[in-house]
Amino acid sequence: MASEHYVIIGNGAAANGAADILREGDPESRITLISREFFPFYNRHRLRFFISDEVSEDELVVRPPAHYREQGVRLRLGQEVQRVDLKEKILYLKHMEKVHYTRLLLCCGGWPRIPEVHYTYRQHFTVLKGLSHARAFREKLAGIKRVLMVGGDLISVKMTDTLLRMGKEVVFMVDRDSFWPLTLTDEMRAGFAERLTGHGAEVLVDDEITGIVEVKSGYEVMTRRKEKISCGLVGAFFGLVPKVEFLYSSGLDIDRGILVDDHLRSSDPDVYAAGDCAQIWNPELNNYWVSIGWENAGILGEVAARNMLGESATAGTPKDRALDYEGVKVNTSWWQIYD
Amino acid sequence: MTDRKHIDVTFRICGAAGDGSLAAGSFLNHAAARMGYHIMNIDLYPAEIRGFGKSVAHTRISDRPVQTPGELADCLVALNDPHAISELNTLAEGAVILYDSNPPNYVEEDEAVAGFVEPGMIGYGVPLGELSAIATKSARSRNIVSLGALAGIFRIPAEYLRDAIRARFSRKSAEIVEMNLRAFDLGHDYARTELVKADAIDFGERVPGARDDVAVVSGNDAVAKACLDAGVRLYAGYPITPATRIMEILAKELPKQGGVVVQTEDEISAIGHAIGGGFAGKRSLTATSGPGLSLMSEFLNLAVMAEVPVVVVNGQRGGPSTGLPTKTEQSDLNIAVFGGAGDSPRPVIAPADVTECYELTVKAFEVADAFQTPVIVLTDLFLGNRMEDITWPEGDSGRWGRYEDRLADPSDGEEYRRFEVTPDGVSPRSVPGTPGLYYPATGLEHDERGFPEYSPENHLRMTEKRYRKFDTLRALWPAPEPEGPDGDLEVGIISWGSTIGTAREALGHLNAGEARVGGFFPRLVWPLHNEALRAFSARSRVLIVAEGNHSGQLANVVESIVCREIIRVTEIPAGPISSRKIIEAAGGMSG
Amino acid sequence: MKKETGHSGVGGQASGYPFSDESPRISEHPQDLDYIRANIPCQWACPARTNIPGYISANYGEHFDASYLINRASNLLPGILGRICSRPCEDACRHGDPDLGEPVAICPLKRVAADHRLEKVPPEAQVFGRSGKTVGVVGAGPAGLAAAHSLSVFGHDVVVYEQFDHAGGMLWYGIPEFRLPSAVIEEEIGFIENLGVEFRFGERLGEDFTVPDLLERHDAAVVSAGCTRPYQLGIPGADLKGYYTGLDFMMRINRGETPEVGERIIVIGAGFTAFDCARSALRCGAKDVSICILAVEELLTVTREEVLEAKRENIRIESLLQSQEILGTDTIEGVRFARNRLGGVDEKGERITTPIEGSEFVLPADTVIAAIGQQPERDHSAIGLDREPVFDEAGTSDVEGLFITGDFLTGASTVIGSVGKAKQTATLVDEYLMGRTRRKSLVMIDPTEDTHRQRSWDFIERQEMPLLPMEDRLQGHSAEVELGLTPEQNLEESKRCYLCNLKYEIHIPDCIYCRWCIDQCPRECIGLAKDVKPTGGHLGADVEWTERWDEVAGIVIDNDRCIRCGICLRICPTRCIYVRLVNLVERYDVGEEVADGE
Repeated sequence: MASEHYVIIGNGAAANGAADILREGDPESRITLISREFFPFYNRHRLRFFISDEVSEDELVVRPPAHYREQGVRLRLGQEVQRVDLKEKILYLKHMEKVHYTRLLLCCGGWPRIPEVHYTYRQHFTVLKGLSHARAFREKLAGIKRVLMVGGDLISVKMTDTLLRMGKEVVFMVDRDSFWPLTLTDEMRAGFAERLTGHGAEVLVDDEITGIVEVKSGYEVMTRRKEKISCGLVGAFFGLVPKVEFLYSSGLDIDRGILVDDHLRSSDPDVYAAGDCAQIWNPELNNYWVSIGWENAGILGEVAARNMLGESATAGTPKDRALDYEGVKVNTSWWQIYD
Repeated sequence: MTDRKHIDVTFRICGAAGDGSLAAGSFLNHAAARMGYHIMNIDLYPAEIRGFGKSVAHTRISDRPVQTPGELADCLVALNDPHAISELNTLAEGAVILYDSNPPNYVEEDEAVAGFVEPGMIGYGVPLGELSAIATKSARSRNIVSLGALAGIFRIPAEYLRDAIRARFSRKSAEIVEMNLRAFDLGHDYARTELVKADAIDFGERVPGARDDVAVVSGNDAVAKACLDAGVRLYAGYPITPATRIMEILAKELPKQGGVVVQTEDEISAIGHAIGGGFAGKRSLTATSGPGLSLMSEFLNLAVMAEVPVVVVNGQRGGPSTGLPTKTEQSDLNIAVFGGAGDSPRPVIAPADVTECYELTVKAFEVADAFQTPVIVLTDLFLGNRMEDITWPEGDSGRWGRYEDRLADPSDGEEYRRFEVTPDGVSPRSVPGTPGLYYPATGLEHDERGFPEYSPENHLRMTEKRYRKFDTLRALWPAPEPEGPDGDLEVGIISWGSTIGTAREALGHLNAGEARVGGFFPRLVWPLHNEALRAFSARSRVLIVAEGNHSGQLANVVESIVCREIIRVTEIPAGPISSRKIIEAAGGMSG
Repeated sequence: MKKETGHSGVGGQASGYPFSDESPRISEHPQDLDYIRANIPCQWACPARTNIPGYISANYGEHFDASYLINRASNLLPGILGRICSRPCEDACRHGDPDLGEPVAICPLKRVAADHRLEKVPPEAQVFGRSGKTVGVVGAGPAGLAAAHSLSVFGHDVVVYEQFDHAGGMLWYGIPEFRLPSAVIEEEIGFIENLGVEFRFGERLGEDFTVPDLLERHDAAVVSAGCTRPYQLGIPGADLKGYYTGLDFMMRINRGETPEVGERIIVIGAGFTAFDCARSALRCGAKDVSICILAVEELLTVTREEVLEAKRENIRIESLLQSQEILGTDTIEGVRFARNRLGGVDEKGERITTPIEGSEFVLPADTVIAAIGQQPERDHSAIGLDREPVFDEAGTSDVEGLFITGDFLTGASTVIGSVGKAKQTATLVDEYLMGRTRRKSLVMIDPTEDTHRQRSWDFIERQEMPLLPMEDRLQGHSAEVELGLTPEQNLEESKRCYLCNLKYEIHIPDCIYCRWCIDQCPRECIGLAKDVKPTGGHLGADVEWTERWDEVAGIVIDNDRCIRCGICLRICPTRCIYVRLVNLVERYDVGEEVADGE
């Protein structure tokens, strides 16, 4: 056991949950966390309070680097895995270093999704997932009055509340694809619109962007129905996609996310996945599901770690409603949409 | 470390042989000095003299005078990852690491410096190899690209660095100059457009005061130039680290002034040649290091006895024996002062910095001539190799003595007494072979005319005469001016040679607070100005002697003069002493 | 010390190249063909063996006529393939190897040559006199056209029988205009007609004539009737209104019809046809188009560009779906799917998908297009034979004078695959008619002084294809979406090619083992060799590598890893590194002498 080297890609809730279990269960092993972000493990769902200046960067930190030194966990921050060789069990990092693992846990999370139909406008969009996004968001927000939010997802509705509280005007264009990969019923969408309007946002439904021009004061957005929306920032909130491109060449089974069984084991017996990047088989549902959210991720990280240690833990059934926005409840399992 | 008002940044550019880390450091030194910054640079090599090892250019740049090279670096440039990883423990908190973000080949786990960048450090990845290939079609200009990146990140005025590059490649084709400037510009532009600045080091494109007369030179360079300016006619030597550089320069330059450089078969022969030159009335020297100085002991005694002017520059390194050939130390004071058999007085001079290497080497020749004695100049590897920005001192200042000054006049008609007993201990010289001024010069005790004479009366008279030169010298050479506040001191710090800079830095640091700390820094380390030393001691509640040897070689001498307890800061860290050690010692004492 | 070439002696040729005084310029040695396979991966991956480094070099010099001709000599249809080729070459391109970046845009560069050439009609190489033999070719698709072209060049009289009223086959009927404009097809087919090939339209094998008829009329027959019989889903509901097969749907559109599609379209299938159907359906006015695939997006074989463009046009790709029933009464209302699990790999190397019991659900739809491929209609009785003929891989049959080729032989493949196969078959037909092999693949080896490469070019990014803005795309079917690389992009993109047809070699007797090349090499492709054994060919060598200096017999460049950056060449202090140009070319054997095929 002493020769085990557990490598965890990611430094979020799932990754840290897993690292704790692995350290506890295998005190002699080497454990390495590799994260693209340079910032230590931080509280992602509080980013909007950072944007509104209610908390500082330091207050976002959940675990400082010293914690990992104490735990004997090697923390590699700001480092990117470029590809994985499953056969040789080597990770190839972007800065041209090889890292050998004996067991690999993928907690690489999600990344803001820009639907391909909006590709043309992607350089005009401001997105929000990590701290670097939040920093940029905050910077752009200074000195502007009006924000256009397009899309519609978990983050966007809460962010809208924050923006309104900050005294910004918010125009919310609910995309037909909102809450992707879920498909909302018209009734649900109307419910959202009503509540957003109630909070003071101007809500546009059944409309789409037909052009964006960058002007001195921000952006002028042309839409199909309304002539022109002037705003200082266009926030794009189309949900997250698992960041798994770097795994494509590995031969690992990937659909939207990394396909794993109930034990979170992927198509390679020594590779596991947990958190937002995993597409989990659930024998009860007879279907795949994807976890969304912090709490689930931590639990899944622990489950994966237990299985990596040789136990037999199951991911269980997803929580029914991960999203509950003032009574509008959305089931977050990806594959229940066709019921 | 840089604060808001002042620039004070220590760079370490680390690479393997052939990576050009030292060249990059040299460009940085020259450009910074031209801008009016003060620099101190020390190039570090592996312990082996030859081989494909690590080489590090260590440069401290400040807008205030620099006393030491700085202990911890604020910025590490990694041109070779495994070597750079071994340098990580030399970094200050929050240091910047510049590395090649896209090297051509994968390395094994833990062999990439980028893998070690953690919160608390700032890593900037620049595709050094790629940009180098674009600029010069090879990976050999990675050092220049990294220099451009440094300029971009820290906003160092680029034009001065470009000038330094131009000057370096001026003998090459215009195309090579252009390619290297392009490499610099690519690095600069990359840093400006692709990197997000996360550190606090900011030169702000500031040029504190452009200096055209500035020279960036090492202690050895300064010694060599001093020899040339002092009118040396003969250098004889046997190569040894760290003194070889002096011989290299003189071999090139001395013949142009009609002088002669002889590489002898060993150090004994080398000083023999130099004594011959001195005897013949021409300024002569040899330069060596500890092992060589040991071999020269007996010939030095001859020069004392026969009263022949000769200068020996001794670049100290770790000993005994061949010891640590590439590591600095200050452990040759004992042999310099006490290394003679019999009662063998010889002045020992130790410069503190590069400018003094020049001034005091010139002075050493003057003392040798004026007092007809061998003079030992003690530099060390660190002082000899370190580069500083200096302005060459004015030429003919305060020359004390020349050979001609005490020349006997053959027309006196009296019997010529070469070793005449005089009040100042100095006797009339003659050019050997001058009719009427013939005399025997021998290692045997002699009478005033030079003939062997062993009577106890004569021996005492002559020994006293030779030692009387010290009194004359003490009177002529101004006593050290104590540094720091007047009046009573909580701590008095005494130091010598290259450690003076360290001691001064400690002094500045300690006196920035409430403390009252003073410094006593003799350059003439033998004979010491005993009265001045005792006076300084009397003012100091606690006395510290800081030096780069283990046994406290100066401290022993000082102790015997001041007859009190001394706190010894004696360090042999294979490099310059850290001012932190002195501060800790003084802090502990002054409470 | 044995040298790589197996020859000894220094000096020789005027160029100063030390190896080649005895080595021939042209080689047929199988080891040299092996060298091409390992070292010029793009050319070997191309079923038609297009000389890709050769034409990209021409592109770099903006010699577009020459580039077009190099292409045409191998693949016949550069303008067409430059648009719709499945690009096996780009998958093989060394520039796309791990950590080396993106493959060279080989296919778009081909199109540049076609778009920007000055000569509208390429001069035809008539290297052979008329043979007096005639050959009947069935089908005017890519394979038929390629076979007809080759046979005509060999001097035979060729008649092409085509069931429809236009030549081109799948090119004409199966691929939408917005990907392949008809004018491009017409022009390149016109070049073949100009050779004197006779086309007879409206003649369908098995209906209007049989194979025995053909063999009676001609000295040989080549059947390249393609794959026209669509695979069916084999699920209930295929009889409902609103159900199409992919080929049927595309043929309707390419005939100018606008099929009724309703708002919601489900396309079942994962190939180019599925994507063509989905994108065409949008242009018929559909609002909501999904492509439902058995496995996952990552495993799709269509190009990434195709997937991205489909998505930009707002087409969804739904993965891991097994269709089970098309639902509706009279008209289609939806499709019932089961969720698939991804299993292992089958014997053909394809991923196994297994529907999960109890995971069924329904997706609503107005139209269902099943684009899951076609098979050849190879029923022996239908084509007038009394038994199933036996074919070998190259298309020779056990029926005297009968050959088959293209997709009819191999099952559904690609345009470039059909062209490549048909050329191979045509060479056999000619051999059958004339009694000897008159066309051969040969390796040409020439010393070169200049590599025409700069190291900095290795860092140029792949040029992005300029595209028609979205608002101009969806009106009708004819607006071509890809606009072709601009001449400026052509220059940048052609610089990216490593020119793998350059072979770097160290002349060991002149090497002083200074290591400079090894130290500076960005690919670790120069190594220490313990022994270098000649293989008998002129290019390859069996190298026994070593790490130990005390057993080094020479320093050798591994051309399989080499990216031809030229650093070693420039840095070598003794100039002991030499470069040869190695090209795989086709040569016609006209009897006494060998003529250039290009």
